[in-house]
Amino acid sequence: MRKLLDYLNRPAPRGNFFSRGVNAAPFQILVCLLITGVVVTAAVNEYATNKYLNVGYTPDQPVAFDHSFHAGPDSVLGLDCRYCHNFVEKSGHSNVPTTNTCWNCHSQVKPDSPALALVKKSMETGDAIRWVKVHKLPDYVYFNHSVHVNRGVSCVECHGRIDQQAVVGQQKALNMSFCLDCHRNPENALRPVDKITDLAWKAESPAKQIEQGTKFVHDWKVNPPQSCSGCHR
Amino acid sequence: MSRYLAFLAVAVIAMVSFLGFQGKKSKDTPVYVFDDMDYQNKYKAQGENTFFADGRDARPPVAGTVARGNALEPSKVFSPNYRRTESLNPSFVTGKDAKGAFLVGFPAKSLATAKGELQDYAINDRVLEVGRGKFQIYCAVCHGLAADGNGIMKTRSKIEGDVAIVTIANLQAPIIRGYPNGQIFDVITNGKNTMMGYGDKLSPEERWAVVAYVRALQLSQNCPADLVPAAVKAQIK
Repeated sequence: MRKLLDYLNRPAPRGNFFSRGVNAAPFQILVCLLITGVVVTAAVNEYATNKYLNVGYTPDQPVAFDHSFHAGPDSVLGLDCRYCHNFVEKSGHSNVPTTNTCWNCHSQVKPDSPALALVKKSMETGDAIRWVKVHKLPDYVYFNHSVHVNRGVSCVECHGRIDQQAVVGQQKALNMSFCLDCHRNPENALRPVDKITDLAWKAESPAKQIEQGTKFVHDWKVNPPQSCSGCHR
Repeated sequence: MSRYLAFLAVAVIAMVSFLGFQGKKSKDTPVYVFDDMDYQNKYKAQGENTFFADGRDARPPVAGTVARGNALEPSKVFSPNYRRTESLNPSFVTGKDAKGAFLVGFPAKSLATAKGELQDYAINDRVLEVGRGKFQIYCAVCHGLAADGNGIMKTRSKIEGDVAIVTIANLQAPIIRGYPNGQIFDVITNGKNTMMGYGDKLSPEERWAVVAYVRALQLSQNCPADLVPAAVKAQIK
């Protein structure tokens, strides 16, 4: 580098208007532009994507419900996801539970806990608890939960290990390429239907996953749409 | 050049320390530089609505509303001959016969129709499998996987010192074994004592499937010797 600059800055013939430093200018400008280009590309790649903008969104909820305590076979209570999100198999929309659902147990267990004050109030007045939506898709995307869970796509594929989260945050990018990765290669994600809410479940090996995934794709006639109108209306 | 590179390095360090890396936890609502049509003014399931006093998109039906079923063809739903299958076979959704007494067995007809006729209702492997799935999700929490009343609720009540420990029913108890099927269906639908109803979570078909599975569990814990298969009998001896 030093030698190169010395060469470019070598003594010029007499009568030159420009200082010697100008000889190296085109080269220096080129290097600066290249480095700037690399930095800008890296920054866009890192920041201008759902992986940065949406992943990690972990808002405070009005009631500090702890999924890692309640849900999943490894948790203290071991509730199935569907105990509370009970319409996920029947509806396009996976419901946030009604206050009734909380009260099924909490009318007996810790009904007067300050942590449950809002639930108790909701039960008495009928006002909704204003849960904060975490996993948002654009309004022109029509994602149907029941279609997915009834064909062996587990909650974990899009929501991650909710059963290990005390406060729920977004773990997957949920952008369009995220959807298409799976729609193009569904065999990577399909599992036996009775294992959809077992978030820790994994096939014995990646090869086994592909093998039985391919079988599920065939047996259940899985044909994920890749056309625009499959998801957009 | 070196001055520019130094400036760039400082800019990169400032950007990274300010913005962090991917996956950083944040309580702030995600930023949309160009939100295009990501957020549209439309009613969404369980959406928030500032227009109505209760703040909900979902509107409760006006008092006296009669459901017209879920058929998709308006001509069918609005024809004068249209009948909801529930109105043709009320026993299936109430668990009671025409006189208001609980059905002892299972309803004879289902809600499914073919050529305008209600189909027979039968308990088979598929129904029991549905019942098992639903029982293990919704019922086992309190009543336990074997329907003996030793679910996780009882364990936790013991730890927390709550009353659920005495109120959770043991479904193997003789009194509950003696219930007619319709009464078990009614308890699932509307609840009993401290148990709240599960009619909002389980469809009538699923509730009957759960009844069938509860009967299977009761049989499993009180199985007469002549019902045990010979191979299993040999193992026990």
